[in-house]
Amino acid sequence: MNTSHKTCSGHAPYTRRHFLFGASGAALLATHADAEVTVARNATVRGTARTCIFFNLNGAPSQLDTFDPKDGAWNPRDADIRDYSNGLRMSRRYFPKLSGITNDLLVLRSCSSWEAAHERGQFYIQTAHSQNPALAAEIPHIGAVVARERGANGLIPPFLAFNQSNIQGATFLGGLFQPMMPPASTGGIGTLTHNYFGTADQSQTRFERRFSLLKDLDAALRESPANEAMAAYGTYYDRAKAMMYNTAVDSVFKFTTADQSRYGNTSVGRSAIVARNAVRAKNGAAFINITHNGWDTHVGQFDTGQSQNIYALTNELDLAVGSLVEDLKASGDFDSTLIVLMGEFGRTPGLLNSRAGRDHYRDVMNVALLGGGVRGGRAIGASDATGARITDFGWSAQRPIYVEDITATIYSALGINWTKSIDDTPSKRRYDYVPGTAEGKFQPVEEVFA
Amino acid sequence: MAMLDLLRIAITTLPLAASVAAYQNADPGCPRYPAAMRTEQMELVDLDRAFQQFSRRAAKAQVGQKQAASYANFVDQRLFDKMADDQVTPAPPTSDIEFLRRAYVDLTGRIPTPEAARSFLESTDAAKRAKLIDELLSSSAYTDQLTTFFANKFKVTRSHESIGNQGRNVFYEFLRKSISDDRPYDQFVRELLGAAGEVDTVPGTQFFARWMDVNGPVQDSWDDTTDKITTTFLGYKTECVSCHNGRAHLEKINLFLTKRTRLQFWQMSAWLSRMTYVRWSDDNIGFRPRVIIADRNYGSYSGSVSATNPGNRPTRLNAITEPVYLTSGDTPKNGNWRQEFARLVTSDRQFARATVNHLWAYLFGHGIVDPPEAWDFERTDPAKPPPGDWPLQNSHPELLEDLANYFIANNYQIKPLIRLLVSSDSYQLSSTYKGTWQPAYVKYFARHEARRLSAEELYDSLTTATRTEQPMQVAGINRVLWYANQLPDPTEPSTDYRIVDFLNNLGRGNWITIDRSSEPTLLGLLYSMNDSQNVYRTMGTSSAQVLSRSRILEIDAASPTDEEAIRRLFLATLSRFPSDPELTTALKYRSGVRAQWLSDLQWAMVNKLDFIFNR
Repeated sequence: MNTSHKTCSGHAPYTRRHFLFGASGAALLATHADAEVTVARNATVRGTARTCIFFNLNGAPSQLDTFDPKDGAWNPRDADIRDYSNGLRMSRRYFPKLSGITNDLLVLRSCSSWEAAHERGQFYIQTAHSQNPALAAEIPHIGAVVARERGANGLIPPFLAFNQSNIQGATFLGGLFQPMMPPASTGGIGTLTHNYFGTADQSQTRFERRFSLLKDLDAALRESPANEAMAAYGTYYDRAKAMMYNTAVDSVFKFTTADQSRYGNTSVGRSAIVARNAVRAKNGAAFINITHNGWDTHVGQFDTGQSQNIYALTNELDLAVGSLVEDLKASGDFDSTLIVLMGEFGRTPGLLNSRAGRDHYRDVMNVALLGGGVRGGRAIGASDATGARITDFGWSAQRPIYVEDITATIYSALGINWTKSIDDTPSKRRYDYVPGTAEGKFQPVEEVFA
Repeated sequence: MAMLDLLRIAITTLPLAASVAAYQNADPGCPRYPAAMRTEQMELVDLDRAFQQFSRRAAKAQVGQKQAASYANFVDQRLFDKMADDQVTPAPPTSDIEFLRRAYVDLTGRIPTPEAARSFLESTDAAKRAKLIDELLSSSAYTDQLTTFFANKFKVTRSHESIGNQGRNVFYEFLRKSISDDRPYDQFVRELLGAAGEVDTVPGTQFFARWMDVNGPVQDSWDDTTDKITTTFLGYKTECVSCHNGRAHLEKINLFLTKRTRLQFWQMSAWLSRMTYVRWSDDNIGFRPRVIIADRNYGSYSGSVSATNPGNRPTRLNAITEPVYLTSGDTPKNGNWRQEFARLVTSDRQFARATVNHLWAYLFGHGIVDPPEAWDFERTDPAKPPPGDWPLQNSHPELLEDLANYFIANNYQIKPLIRLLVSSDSYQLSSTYKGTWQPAYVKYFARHEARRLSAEELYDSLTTATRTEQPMQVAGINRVLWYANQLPDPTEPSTDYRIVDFLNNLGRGNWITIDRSSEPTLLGLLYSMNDSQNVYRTMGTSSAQVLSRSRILEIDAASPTDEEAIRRLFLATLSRFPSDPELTTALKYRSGVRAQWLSDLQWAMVNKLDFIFNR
């Protein structure tokens, strides 16, 4: 194993928490979980989507080698770049499946990132906030905001997250909206259901009995726990139990090997199947983050001998997203599911670097959107011949599209007023759902919608 | 290499003057020192402040007087006098039940067997606690537990690309033997910091291999190792000044480091700059890396790095830097810088202070200076109080000095120090506080802080309670291992995925990218309540070998009455007898054959909060 993998920075996810902090953290949850939300201004939300599936392309994909290809010497011979309606352009070699559904695909090509370092860039796309060291620990993931807006009403936790260890959590919004990070495999979550004692029904009866005994025996400690850490631990039992011996939950996390191979039998593919199941179940899932790792292609990006190269990355993503769109269409859920594909920034334009890869680049990146009220078959904005500068913003604001705008767009699609804020935070500093929107600095990209 | 890219951007897009300044200016969102950690430290400063304000207010209002108590040792004198001064009432002393389990888990990593528990609880010997402490301290389980404690600090794992099985095992046995012999800790660290030779064979070299940045320039390896040395052995993180001067980014966190510069960090790092790493990645002994740690008798720290591989820190000043010890100003007296550094570190009084504070934090839940790896030397000396409304970081300065003296007087041996601490009435306070608890009381250590058992402790306690210990194989270790705290690193036991799953699901971490965590998670709870490996342990059906010794069957066969069976099962699992209401509840839930409902009962007990926590 390598100390510097996934992204080139080799950062450790920051999960270390002092017990004192954990204790006060638990106390904070209690005081702030129902903090009042203020609406800065009236906003016309679109409300076209029920669920958002966010493909986090971790490591930052190259704009040129994904959805904004140009003719250039850097392209491999077999790139097979083709033009589609309204200026859409894509490589059929990289995205064979998506090439077949360009009518559903919208590409925002005039996006810029504020960041060019992975951690900070990831923090930005996960939270729509700059990583201000004084406040970062209390800024929640946008998935947790969506979860809180929707509430934890179903049996499936509202915020699911796959394949990412350094994901920002729910912070002061409370444990209910914390991302659940299940495995994605055909067998589902092995610990949900068991046939320990005869049939599943018999096993469940026995489990219920045991659980009730546990609660009776533990009542005194639940009532007066030794400290906050113990109190916090005590709150997880019921939530975990609600998910057990419940086919409605169990079936969401299971899938067939046929589905598995159809989606590509990759971590991103398997996660997409569980996401599909969760959307179809309509049982609480509101925001599903699927991280696709490996986009940090500094070296040998077209070298198929490299474990992570453009061919493999694009093909994996293509198969996962393409199959997901197919299935959601078949079940009638496509139009109410917003699918977002984005990374934390772009990559150096034009020719490859001396190591046949591309390095970090902020000025141009792109975001692809499907479903959930998005009008596809188009591209918004354009970059120059090497993907180095934006030449056409392509939307009303006449400036680059930033993470804030994308997040506001996602919130709008999900029917959430993006100008909201919460005053009662642990730091007592106002938390804006999307900073700058109240002042009109950022706004949803209305052109996205039909 | 995020910094690498920032740097590349700095070089390509900023004017020249800006890039020259880049080596000292702060990056406001440094990935090496993540925001969560900073905020946490700021919260801890607030807690120090609350403590200090509470203490001052209390002193002003003081009307009572110290109770002339007979203290168990000087630890109690310092702690209880401070509480009496400030009119903080400590929690009551532990009962034998509380003390028994706490001492067993802290000192051996697992609960007592029912036989051991019964003999302690039923003993009327007035000195039984002292005798138990002696017994535990001389057990091999103590060696396992303390080895695990230190191993978790050094994090020498074969997951690192410079360490194979062999090197990992050599390091583990080196550490374990030092603990088992109670070798003076300063000697151990001196040997470790001066170690040179093949990583596969020479004890101590693995520490340097572990903190080597294999793909970066050698300066990154020296810098990472320097930070690791100051953090682990001296109690302060220097990473923050390894990229930038302290000014403009550490003001709210650490006054001492705010005034330190990157140059001073390089001077500290320069003590390692004559160390070289030789590494073959494709050696003919297989895919195992072959690494040698060696020293030259010339050379020094240069800021010059290869343009194509500048590493992951901002540009260093392109100049030669010679060693200066950061806190004392010591400079080299001879050519072997690393040996000299090893001597300076281990003879530094801060080495003793930091070590006792680390061990204190382990036994008492948090440090006298807290966090124990983030000392702020401008806030630790009461004779030189910090400016403005900055609080002292050190809640009991005299006690810390006494403890450091004690450690040094006892030849830097760990065991006497631990005996002193666990023998104190302070350690033996209950975790249940009578009266209204206030946040500032935390810093008085006015009650014992309950902590969740680590993944390893949970596994070892569960197998002890259920009598389902299974032998584990670890490549290159020629003895049978029965307990998780005997494993040399978090990749083990690689031959038994069931145990690996257990440990990982309960937050063991991997010593590289995933930190240890004791926070509850849904998946963790699903696992502990409903995983087959867990559930079968309380049923005695996981294998024929286990079946023959299952706790449930043993108790079922040996108990004349249901009440007796319940009492025995409580003793085996929670290391105490049931209260009357508990006995009534357990009897109420009887159904089916006895072994069956006993299994239900044990399942409930191993999921109880007082099993999962050490109180």
